[in-house]
Amino acid sequence: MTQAKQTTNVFSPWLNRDNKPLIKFENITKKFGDFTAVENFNLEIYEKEFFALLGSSGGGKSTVLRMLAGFEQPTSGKIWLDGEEISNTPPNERPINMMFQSYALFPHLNVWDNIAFGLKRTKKRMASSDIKARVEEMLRLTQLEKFASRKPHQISGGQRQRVALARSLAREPRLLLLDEPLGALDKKLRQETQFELMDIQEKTGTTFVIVTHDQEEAMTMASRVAVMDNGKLLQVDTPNNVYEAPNSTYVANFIGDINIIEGEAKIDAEGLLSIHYSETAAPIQTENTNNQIHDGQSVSFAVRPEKIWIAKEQDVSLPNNVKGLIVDIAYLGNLSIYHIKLESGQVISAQMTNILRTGQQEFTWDDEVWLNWNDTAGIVLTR
Amino acid sequence: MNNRSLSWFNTTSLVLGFAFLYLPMLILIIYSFNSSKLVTVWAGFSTKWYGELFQDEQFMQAAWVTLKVGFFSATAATVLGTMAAYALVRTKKFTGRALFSGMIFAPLVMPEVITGLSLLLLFIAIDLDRGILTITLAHITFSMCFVSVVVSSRLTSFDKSLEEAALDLGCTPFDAFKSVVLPIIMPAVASGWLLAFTLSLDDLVIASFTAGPSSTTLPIKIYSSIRLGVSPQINALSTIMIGIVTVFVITASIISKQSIKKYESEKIRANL
Repeated sequence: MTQAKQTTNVFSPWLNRDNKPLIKFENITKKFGDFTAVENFNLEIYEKEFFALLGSSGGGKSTVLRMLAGFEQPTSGKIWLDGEEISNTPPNERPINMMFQSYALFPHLNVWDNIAFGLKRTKKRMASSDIKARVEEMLRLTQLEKFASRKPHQISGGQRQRVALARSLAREPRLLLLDEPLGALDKKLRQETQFELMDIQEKTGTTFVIVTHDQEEAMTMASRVAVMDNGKLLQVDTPNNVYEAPNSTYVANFIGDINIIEGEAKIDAEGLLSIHYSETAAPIQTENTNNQIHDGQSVSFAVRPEKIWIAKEQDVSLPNNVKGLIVDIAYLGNLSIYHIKLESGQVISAQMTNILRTGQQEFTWDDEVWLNWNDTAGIVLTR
Repeated sequence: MNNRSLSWFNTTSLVLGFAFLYLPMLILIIYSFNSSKLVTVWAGFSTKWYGELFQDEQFMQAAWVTLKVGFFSATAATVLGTMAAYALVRTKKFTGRALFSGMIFAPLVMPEVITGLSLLLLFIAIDLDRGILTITLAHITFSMCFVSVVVSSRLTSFDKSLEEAALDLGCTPFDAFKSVVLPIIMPAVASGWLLAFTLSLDDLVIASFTAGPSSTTLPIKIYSSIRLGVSPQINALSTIMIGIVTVFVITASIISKQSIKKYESEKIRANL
């Protein structure tokens, strides 16, 4: 889905240096007492982006969002919106709206009045006919026409989520912040709502910044993902690049499954890179994409389970072949995950798609198999 | 809960306990309907003392004073108590916060004689003539902390993101309080008002310290007429007061109980 979007309509404003960012964080640090929640944070977000802040809880992503909304002020540094500094502007004076994790719908107001709440408080007073038209438009957009007169406790969780979205979009914000917007929904509804959100984002052309701890959610919806840990920004890139070219073992581990093999880098006379990880096993042959690596450096080789090919035989057409024993199999329906113990002691996880519906599984416990992968399958990480 | 009936022991202790609590009042209510002028001799049912009570100019005057004091002090105490509760629950930590919150609740346990005396000294010091105004001020002082206890217990369970949402949607902090916080905590504020009103209605000690000659409240009036002997009129008056207080207290507790129930059920639904 995301891939298709990228190839048909190349949306990458961050690549063009002439583009002015909508939001700019400049050396932002936020401390709560002795605790540093966000440290030296620099980030640019462009108009019409669907931007995801991803990280484990306590990683500082919610603080970043709350600083954008105006509920927290940075301890040092500046936040810019459209070239205007907003670091200390109170929340009611920012053209930014937020959808809260708890939805924060006003329980004493019905759906209609919840959506109209912000419209009645615009800087330039809106005519009541305009408010009515706007609320109706929002109700149509979120398919809530039938529930306009219901109170929040009289509708379902999914409908409440849509009311919260409609309410925060009603004021046509320059930027919409979404704090774990799908956290309270069950898995099926969450997947449907992901596509709904993407659809609404495209229709309204609003810039979205979403905070989530769910990497799948971020990968599905976002144009770019920022991975945070311990208040620091680790990597900002497209979902594709974050997955295929993580810049650190933390990012590699956080997003999807990955095998990490630690070893020593050797660069031969022709500039080819190999990684020695065991005295008995042959070194791993891999592309040298990182020019920073020098001969003899200790590095981590990271390779995703789906990029390893399991076979009964050694596949000599591929540069890497290792023998091992199957110790575990997890059957997930669409695919199976095999844990294979190498002769050097490492356990490697490899994935095979179950393309045949019937017939015996090809491999079973304690089978001796060969793991084969290409020199482009993995990536070499130095931190 | 099963339908097991109460044991012999439990029934007895329950009866004794309730008798201890309510027998005096029951006797007072019964004798208010006595037709005899002698309080201790039953001479048949009559409501004539109620009639006489409403004819009595002095009692009516005292009732009017009491109602005025009750209404104004309860209203002012509700405004101040709500503000204090909001400040204590909502503001971030500030120096002396623990001291401040302790001081708000101290009058709850302060002996009334001391509160009354200190207020009296204050009014004399600032040369304020004692009358309805001073009783009202005194009642605000001690009923405000009851209001703030009731309101702050509601505010602590109040979802802070509702306020943030209001700010986010363009409200000034005051507008957010007025259009979001206040409507939601209204049941607690209302039961705080009823509580303050009841307290003011009941108070004898503080009122007698702060009252002037022109401002006798009902409790003061009852107390001073008792010295001249118990009259059936007083019984009638006391019965009416018991009735009013009962209605107010029950209303206050129903309001707060229902709002808690509603809030809980909304929370349960929200988590479904």
